[in-house]
Amino acid sequence: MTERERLEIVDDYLGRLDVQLHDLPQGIRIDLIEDVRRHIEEAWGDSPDKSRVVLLNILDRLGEPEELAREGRERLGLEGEPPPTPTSARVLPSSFGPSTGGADGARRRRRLGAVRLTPLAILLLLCVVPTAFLLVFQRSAAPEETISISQIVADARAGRVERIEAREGSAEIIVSYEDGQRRRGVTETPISALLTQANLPPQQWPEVRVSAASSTDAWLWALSFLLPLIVLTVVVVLVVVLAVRSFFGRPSGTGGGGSGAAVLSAVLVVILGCVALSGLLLAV
Amino acid sequence: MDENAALITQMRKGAVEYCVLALLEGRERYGYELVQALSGVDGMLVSEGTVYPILSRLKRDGLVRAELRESRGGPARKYYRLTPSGDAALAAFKAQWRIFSGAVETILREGARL
Repeated sequence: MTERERLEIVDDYLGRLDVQLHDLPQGIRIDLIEDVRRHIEEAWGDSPDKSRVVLLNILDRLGEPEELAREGRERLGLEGEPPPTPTSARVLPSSFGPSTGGADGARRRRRLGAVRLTPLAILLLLCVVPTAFLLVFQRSAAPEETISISQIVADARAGRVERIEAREGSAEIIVSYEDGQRRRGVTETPISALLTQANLPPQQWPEVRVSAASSTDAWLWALSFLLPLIVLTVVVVLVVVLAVRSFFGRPSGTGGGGSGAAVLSAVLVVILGCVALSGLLLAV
Repeated sequence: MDENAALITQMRKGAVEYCVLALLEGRERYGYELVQALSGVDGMLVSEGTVYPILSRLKRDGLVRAELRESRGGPARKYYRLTPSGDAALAAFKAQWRIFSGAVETILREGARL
């Protein structure tokens, strides 16, 4: 028997126990499941023969999960309540085959746990990742100093301006100076009027570049922005789902660990978001 | 018949709790060790797993204290030991049980002659 098969059988048993213990206080329920898990591990470690029969025998000697749960309720003075799932242990055979109704019930619970977590993780991602990109883009789009139009006019008059760039349909202009500085300004006035206003003869005009607003820019923006966003989102979702599964895939967390798993996934998303953000900042 | 079985089950349940305490008298043991000691005595346990709810209850009632400790190469072990009130409960049970079981034994042995 492989280790994977062994863990599947053990998880199946503990999952059924978890279902049966649903009405016990959470602390006691988690304690009991962990006690039984340790018992199985000890007994397995004790046995020189690592066969399926030995494992099933260990579980058989432990008793049916329903019996353990009944004992727990009686010992701890709790009134018995039927388990929430239709897979009552009464209909289960005494050997713990992996395809019993109880096993399916336990697996369904685990799957539901994962499904409940994924929307939360995606929601958080949708908040964190665009925020990260927004911060990065704002940072990269605004390295220049913003100046007033009268300042540009004064600078042009003094001959310090080398080039003025503007985009059709945009009020924004970028002024490049002789010393390599770049400054940004916003003007409603056409550049020619601006330079006339500066009282400069045409031969002294700085180089003026006016670029048309083109549709390829939108595509480039979409590619450079959306593609990494999608890739990053997919990667982060995968990492979070895998992490949550490995932490809470075991039955001890199917019920009680729900909120813990949500918190963990939230923390993971925030951490990954920060990592992605710092990586992007470094790249920019 | 069913009623009879239920009665015996109840008797066993009442006694097992004190047997767990007795196994912890003067020494600590971990869960699996306790189960092995109990199941080594014929007729004490029906299902080994039922020991764990008993330990939960004893812990809740303050009769035992539990401490989880790492073990070499295996799962962590939860060691149980008696608290002073556990000691007292065990002593009281021992005295009562000896009187009671002696009385029952006498009746069973000599019932017809009494």
